[in-house]
Amino acid sequence: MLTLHSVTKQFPHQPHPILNRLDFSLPQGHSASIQGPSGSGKSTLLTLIAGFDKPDSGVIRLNELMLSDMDEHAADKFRRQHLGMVFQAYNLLDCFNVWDNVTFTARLKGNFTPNYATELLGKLGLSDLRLRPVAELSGGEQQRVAIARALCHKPTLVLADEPTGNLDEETAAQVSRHLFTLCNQTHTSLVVVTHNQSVAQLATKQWQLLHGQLVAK
Amino acid sequence: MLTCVALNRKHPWTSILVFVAIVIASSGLVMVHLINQGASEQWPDNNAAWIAPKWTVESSGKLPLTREDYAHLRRAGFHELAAFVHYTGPLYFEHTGSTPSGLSLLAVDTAALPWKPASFPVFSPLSEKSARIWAHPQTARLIEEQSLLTDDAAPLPVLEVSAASLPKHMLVMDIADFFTASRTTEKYPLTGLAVTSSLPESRQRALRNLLPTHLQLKRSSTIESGGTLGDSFKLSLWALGVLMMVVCMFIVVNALHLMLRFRLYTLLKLRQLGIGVTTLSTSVTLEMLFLGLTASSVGMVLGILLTQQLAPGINQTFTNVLETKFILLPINPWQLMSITWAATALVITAITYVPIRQLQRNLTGRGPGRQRPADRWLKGATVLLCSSALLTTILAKSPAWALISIALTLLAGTGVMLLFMPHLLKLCAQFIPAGWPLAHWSIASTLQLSKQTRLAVCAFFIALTANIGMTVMVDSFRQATDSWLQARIIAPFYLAAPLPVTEPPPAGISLFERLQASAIHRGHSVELRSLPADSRFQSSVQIEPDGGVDWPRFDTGEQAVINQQLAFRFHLSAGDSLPMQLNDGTHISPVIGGIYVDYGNPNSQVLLNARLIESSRDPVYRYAIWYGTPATLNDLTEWLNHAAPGGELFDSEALRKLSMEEFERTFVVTNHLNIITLAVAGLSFMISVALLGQQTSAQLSLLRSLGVSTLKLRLSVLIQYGTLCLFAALMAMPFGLLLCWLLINKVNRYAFHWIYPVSVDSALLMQAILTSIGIMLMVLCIPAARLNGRLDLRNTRVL
Repeated sequence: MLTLHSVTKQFPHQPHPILNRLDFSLPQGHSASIQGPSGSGKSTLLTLIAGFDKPDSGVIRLNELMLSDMDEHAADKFRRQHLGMVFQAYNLLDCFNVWDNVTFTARLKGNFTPNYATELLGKLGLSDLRLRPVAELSGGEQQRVAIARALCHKPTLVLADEPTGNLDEETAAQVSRHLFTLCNQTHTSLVVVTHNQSVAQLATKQWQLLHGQLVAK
Repeated sequence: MLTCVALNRKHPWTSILVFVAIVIASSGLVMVHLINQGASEQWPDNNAAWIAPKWTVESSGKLPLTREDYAHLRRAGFHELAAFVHYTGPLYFEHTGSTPSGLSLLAVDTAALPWKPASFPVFSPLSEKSARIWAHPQTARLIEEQSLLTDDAAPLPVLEVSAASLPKHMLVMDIADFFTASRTTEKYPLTGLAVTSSLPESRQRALRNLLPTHLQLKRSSTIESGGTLGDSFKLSLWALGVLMMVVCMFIVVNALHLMLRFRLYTLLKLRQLGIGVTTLSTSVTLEMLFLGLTASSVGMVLGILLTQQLAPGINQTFTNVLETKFILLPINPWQLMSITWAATALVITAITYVPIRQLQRNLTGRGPGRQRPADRWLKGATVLLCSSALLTTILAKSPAWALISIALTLLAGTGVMLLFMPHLLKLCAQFIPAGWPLAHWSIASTLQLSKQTRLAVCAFFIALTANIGMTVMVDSFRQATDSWLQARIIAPFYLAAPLPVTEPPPAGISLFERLQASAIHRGHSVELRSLPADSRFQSSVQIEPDGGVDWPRFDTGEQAVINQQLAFRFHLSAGDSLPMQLNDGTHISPVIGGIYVDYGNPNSQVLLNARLIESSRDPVYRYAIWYGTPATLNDLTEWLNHAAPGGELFDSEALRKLSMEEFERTFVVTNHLNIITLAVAGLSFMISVALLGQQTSAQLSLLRSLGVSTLKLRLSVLIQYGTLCLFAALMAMPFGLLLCWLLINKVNRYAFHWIYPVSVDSALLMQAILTSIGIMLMVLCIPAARLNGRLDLRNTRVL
């Protein structure tokens, strides 16, 4: 269960907090989509959940882990062990091929099982591309690789920041379907920040971030 | 242009990199130019350049050189001319009538000499009437208080002052004291007018135009060996200069490449706003020229200052190796500035062409998306360079061609490195265990880094190759010299006596005299040294290849052995006859019995039996001494006190040590230039990776987001740099050894006329490589440490 309780974050030189006493919870294996206008604090929220930054006040907890209190070393370990991330711009390691990118997180965590990685590639339709350099892939293929990477080390939580932002409608639908299905199958919690209504609708619960608060849709 | 200025403000490092690169390149150019200019005007190391002037005005044969000619030329402003008479006739001791062998007399117009350093004999001012004659202390002891006569029985002034700076075979006096009632200009016409300072080309032309038909300006043959060595020094300096230039060229191109890479997006936007490609390219070129001219001016000043700082060190090298003095000439800033600016403008225009072309391709949209045939081009260029390097190496028969073959080898090496580096890195990546993903990423991204910093890597590769080549060469030379000294300095003691030792030594002490003389072979001055008929001496001569000398025939004077320098100069080999004219006019023609190695001696030398040179020997008295039962060291010193008063006794160990110390001093300048080149390459690499670090920050941010700690990330980045340096070093090793071989067997062979075996000390090689990598890593620690450990999700969006 991911829980955020009364989380507040204010950036210097800004009159109002970007997140203001925000509360949010997500049961394990469920998914949530977060929408909101630009600058509403969606990415800041993901940043806090991922442990990149700390809230000014409030509590962020993932099961037994108190994310808001973790030092840098513990936050690194948390991300390695429990977190998968999908970015708008795919963010693949461009010096690697598909297989190396997908298995990177699992090898980093130390739970690399080739069969599971092969299975993931199969489910995402990437089996034939496993030895291709990622730079040679299309946007949709790259994002599917990013999804496989986010899941290969069997994380507890996946955070997706505009995962379909760079894709056309058809590819976006295909990629988001893969993301939600696989998270569901692996009982992984998923938080997706998106502007795309059809992507948002795939989530178990949909939220809107307005004035620093999450409002259920 | 305004945008260019704004871009400079936004990314000052790129312009600073270009600026620094040009400053270094132009200061290097100025230094090499000034040092070479000074080397061209070297003076024999005796503070008395007029004794062996580089240029002389002499009679062309029809009419003699007269006092009127001299006065006319001096009046015309040629105050650097000093008249002299070189008396080569016999000299007699007034009382005994005997002739001191090998002495000659030089009478010079001392009033016309331009400078007199402290150690120089102070010639009598004209107001002081007492005539004087000067000689080397050893020669002075030989003459003592005896009066000397010339062949017309006219006495010479009594020796009053001695000066260590004069050659041992020469007596010097003022020309006014030389001419007497019996020694007239009719009988002894002026031999020539010595040019006592530098004589630039314009001055040479002016002097030639002024000379009457019966006179000619001649380049003197008396300093033949010194002149050749000066050229050799210039050659080696140019070699280092060229090396630094190649490194700097890579650095400047690299800097330009990075600069344009950073500007591409802005320039593309300007292009979209309707500004033409030509306008953009012209603006960038003009900016580069402005940057180049400003930087080269700074570089010029820096070069002058550095040369002034280096001058004492260079002088030491000259003194140790060339037996000459280095003179830093007055600097003409306008001439220097025009040279520097012209060179910079030329180089900038030439090397800006390729990046500008690339920029134009990118701006017109033809660049990205289309696969460039870079690898094919690189393969072709590498094959061409390798073939050219091989061909020039085989055909090189002169120092210039040897240098060209070295330059081509270095460039071929960079091509080979660029071709093989990716394969080596891929091979390396295969051996990394699956459980080390970060190491795997480090190696994989090194490949990318190597492509982005290709030019900086090339600069490092060349600097490292040169460093390895020079280190191994110097070490080979050191080892060869050391073993040569061990073999040649065989006696426990050596004596330098002012006078011949005539008293027989007591029992237990054996004394072997080593005679010295000089001769002319095919117009070339040759040193002659006697070799005693003793197996200890004969076995100490390192004949290469072994054997071949018929020592009994050597002892009879039928055979002689020659040093490598003489053999290489005249393509002589064992069995050839060696006709020589000795100082006293006699001719000898021994058969060459073998060729011996004689490291560190720039001159041609012949070892032969003492009886062949007894008549023309120099007044130099050197002895090798052994002692043993019943004699003790005390007995030896006591005996020498009365048998050779004033003599200097050297023990062999001290002599060896002294020689090796001189050896080490000789390479001070070269070593420093080597390290400077390496540091320059390191600096370029550092700035490159620091700039590229801005582009790779998104990748690093991603890794942080995947749970990699900052420390591990910094280490990984350092591993990247280290791997790149290590692989460049691995590739540089064979090329460094090849360079060493070329330096020894081609440059040394044709410039210095000697070769020695390449001896590779693996520990030293590793030390050179590790030191180079260490320097690089120390420099590269800065950008690695500056890596931002902070995580920003927005940063990953620029990926």
